[in-house]
Amino acid sequence: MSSSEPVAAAAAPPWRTAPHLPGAFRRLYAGEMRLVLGRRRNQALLGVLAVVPLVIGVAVRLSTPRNGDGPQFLSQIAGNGLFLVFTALTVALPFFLPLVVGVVAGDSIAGEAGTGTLRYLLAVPVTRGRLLAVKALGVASCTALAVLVVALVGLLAGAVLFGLHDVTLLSGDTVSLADGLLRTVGVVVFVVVALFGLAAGGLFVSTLTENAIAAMATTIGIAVFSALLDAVPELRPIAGALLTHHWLGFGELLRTAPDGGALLRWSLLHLAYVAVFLSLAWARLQTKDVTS
Amino acid sequence: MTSAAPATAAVPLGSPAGAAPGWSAVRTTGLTRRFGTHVAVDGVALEVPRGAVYGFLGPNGSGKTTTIRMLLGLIAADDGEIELLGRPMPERLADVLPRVGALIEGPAFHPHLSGASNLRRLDVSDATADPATSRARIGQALTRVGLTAAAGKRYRSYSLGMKQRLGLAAALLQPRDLLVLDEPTNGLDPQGTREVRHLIRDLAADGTTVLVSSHLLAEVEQVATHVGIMSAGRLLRQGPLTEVLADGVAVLRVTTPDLDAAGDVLGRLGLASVRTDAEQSCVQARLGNVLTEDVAAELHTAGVRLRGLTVERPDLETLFVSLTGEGFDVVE
Amino acid sequence: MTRTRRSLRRGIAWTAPLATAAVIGVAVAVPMAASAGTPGLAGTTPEALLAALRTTDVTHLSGQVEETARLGLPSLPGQDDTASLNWQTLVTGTHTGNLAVDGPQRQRLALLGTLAESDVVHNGSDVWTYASSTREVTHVVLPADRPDGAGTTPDPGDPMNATPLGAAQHLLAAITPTTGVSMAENTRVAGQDAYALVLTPEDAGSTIGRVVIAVDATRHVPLRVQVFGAGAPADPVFETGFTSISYDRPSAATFDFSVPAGATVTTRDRSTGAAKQPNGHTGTPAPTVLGSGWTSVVEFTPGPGALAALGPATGAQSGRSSTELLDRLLTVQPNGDRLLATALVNVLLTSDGRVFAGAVQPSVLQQASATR
Ligand SMILES: Nc1ncnc2c1ncn2[C@@H]1O[C@H](COP(=O)(O)OP(=O)(O)OP(=O)(O)O)[C@@H](O)[C@H]1O
Ligand SMILES: [Mg+2]
Repeated sequence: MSSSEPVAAAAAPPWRTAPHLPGAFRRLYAGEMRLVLGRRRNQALLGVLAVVPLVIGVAVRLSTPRNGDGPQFLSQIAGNGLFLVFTALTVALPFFLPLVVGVVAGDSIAGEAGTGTLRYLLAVPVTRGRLLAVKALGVASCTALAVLVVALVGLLAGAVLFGLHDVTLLSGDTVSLADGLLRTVGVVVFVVVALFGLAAGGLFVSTLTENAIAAMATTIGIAVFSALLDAVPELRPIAGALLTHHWLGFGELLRTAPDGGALLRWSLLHLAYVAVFLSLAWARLQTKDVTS
Repeated sequence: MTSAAPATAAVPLGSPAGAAPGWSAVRTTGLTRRFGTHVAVDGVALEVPRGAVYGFLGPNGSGKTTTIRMLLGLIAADDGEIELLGRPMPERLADVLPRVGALIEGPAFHPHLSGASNLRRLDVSDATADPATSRARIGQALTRVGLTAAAGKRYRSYSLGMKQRLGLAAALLQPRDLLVLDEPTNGLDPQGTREVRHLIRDLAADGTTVLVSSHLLAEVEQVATHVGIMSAGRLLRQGPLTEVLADGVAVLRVTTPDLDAAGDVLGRLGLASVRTDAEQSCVQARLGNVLTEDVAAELHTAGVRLRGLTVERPDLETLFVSLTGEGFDVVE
Repeated sequence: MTRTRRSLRRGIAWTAPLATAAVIGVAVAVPMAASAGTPGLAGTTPEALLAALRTTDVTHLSGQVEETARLGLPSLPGQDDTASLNWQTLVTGTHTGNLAVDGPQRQRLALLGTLAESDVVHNGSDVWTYASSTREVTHVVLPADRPDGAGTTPDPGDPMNATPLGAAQHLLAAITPTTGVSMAENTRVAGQDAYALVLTPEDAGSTIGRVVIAVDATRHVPLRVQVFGAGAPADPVFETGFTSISYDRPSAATFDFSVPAGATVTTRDRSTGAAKQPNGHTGTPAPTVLGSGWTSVVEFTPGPGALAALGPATGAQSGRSSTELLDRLLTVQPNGDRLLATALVNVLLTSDGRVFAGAVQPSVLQQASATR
């Protein structure tokens, strides 16, 4: 101990910082998930997602669609239930999945600010960096859960209604069911990562306002707006950089030789959106005056 | 590295007369916050000694809540320094706030969760809170605010006072060194108000410093050891309650037939605003720092015949109104 | 107002997203910059390069091809849409395809769409096409003695034309003694250093102003073909090039095709010369090439069904929108012929049902139709 120590000790208050207990972040995260998943509204939304593959499956069961009819892969479901997963994801991606992601992400911080619980969380204290981390993790978990609900219900309903068989790829080649299931896992992972970009955007929007509904609407609006821009022919040169442009890129996994480079590039694009939106959310949350 | 136990209150933090004068429970210097061009808090220098019950007073919109928010790191200060429990804020927020319980501008909880679930959410969010004792501490906190019976009911269905009580329970989840309570009795019934008063007394007796903002001056007067009075963003007066109450406003009234002699004595002692009232045959003056017994002794030696000698100390409300003005309109 | 500590902190925090964006920007820009630039290559002459192109010993490769057509046509309905991806859409917009070549006997070209793919697989005497959106398979059996299809009349609808290999082959065939050949600045295509060979038709009848072929500097494979219109516009009217290429031999399985379950198969057996047509279609006569060089014209007579679809508003139910589209594009000539004019290819539909097409001025087509 140096000789200057006693002086410092006299000036410093005689209490020691309480240490963070092991598993503290895990408990924080578990609490967050309990809160989000315990909410009726969110349960109902997940229910809607589960209904998507069920409705498609039953509809196909009742009337066999012709080739080229309806959404992608629809005509293949009757022959192989696995395609119900892809059809359901294709149907859910433009609106239902962004809806769920938008509601959960938009609500994440704006909702707490709106009810005033944000100030009490910060006073606990949950530091702002930790709060953003747990909220981001929570939103990411819900995003993954949403996609999993569609995929798993699709797989189950497909298996029950039509059975699972060898998979005819987009290229016309046929691979084993095991290969097909592996590709399905890849599809789910790709879609989840793709939706992370929107989820991070929603998290950022959520830091901007105390009005949760506005944050949710804005987040869903981001997805819709991006899809609109994507459809404008004049914007083709930049279309590839749009948030939603590569969402259906999971089709790459259903070719005989998936272009790994492209899949990686697209996923990196989605992760770049995550990085930008998360850093924006961080900056905003760090400087935010919590006056609600 | 010594024990990892979260022994928050293991070190007694001493009394207002504590030995280490180097640090206070709350100390700010030049604390300033603007909203646009409006200065909500203007150069406030709070000093809340350890162990004090500090009544933080001021009319609506005088900047109390804004100050409290800055203390807790919820909003940033434009200028000035803050020390909480001797540590700078918001730099040491993560160290300091586990030792601080807060009720900020009314309670706020998730309406779809029960009171107990809401408390559990806050407790699991506290990285320093031991999960093993969580249930017990939540139970204790609920008991302390008399909410045990309604613990399982949804927050949505709580009455105003029950909500307020739950807010207090949240502040009491852990042993605290400092409690910051912004209008804790808002919406409470008379019993609740009394309970809160007792609660504050108990906590203070255990060594917890309490900073309580309230508009119920009679309540504050009963529990506060110190007060600070805000008006239009400025801290007008602050100090031990007795001093603030006594400070210059105590009026001495001497009833005597020897009016002139009495007036001379008071003037000689340095009392201000000496006024003779022949009709009432009394002399009045502001007592200031002079002790009443000294005045009595001087009058006696001067041979003033005393019919009566009274000191009228204004109550907190009188003082408050005299400082912040009679006007009802909110000062901007 | 003075700059407060609060605003200072605020400024510092907001540098984080700026830094993030900057890092991403750099991560995107650096590889781009690295792949740009003009490589220094040993000098060569256009003649030597032409010769090398024709004698390249590369027999197998695979890679991704991007094709862009700016013919001035409006985008067709369902263009690169998931559901109606088809080879006809190649005439407008940008398309991506995977190409695998293993000698003249085995090729595979896959047109990639979102959640869709159209494949042409040539393996020996079999040519298979598969469209994922309709799950239709066509199976063409080639004559046993000509499994590579060589020597047959060039098919204007052959999707291979949209690849750098196919396009270059056609353009090189069009070279006449009057064609100017020169070199442009070296370039990089699909990560390969390349020479740029410039062909200038110098023929008033052609709609082509200039052709630039990027040739792999070491392997002499055409990596990119750009066709510029006669008016010397900045953008090529047609462009096709590799975006990635590998000179490894594609695995043999690439060229295997077996009919997937649930697909509808149409078989055309050309092994004996006679085209076996399903659904009672009368065979269409093979196209004939009139003239040579840059002004060669293809003549063919489409079947009655095809003509109905092309004709003005004959009330074809599903073809309504595309028929309307054609109505707008077709201009009726004084003699009753109809002309479909684009920035590169012009098509003349004569009143007696013949079709003349070529990368030539309309007057050349009219002349061709008049002399026949
Ligand atoms: N977020 C904000 N934006 C703009 N002005 C604000 C904001 N928060 C507070 N103010 C202003 O700051 C001043 C002080 O408000 P504050 O809430 O601190 O008062 P208070 O003393 O707590 O009043 P009360 O007794 O009514 O609770 C008021 O004039 C108020 O209008
Ligand atoms: Mg207030």
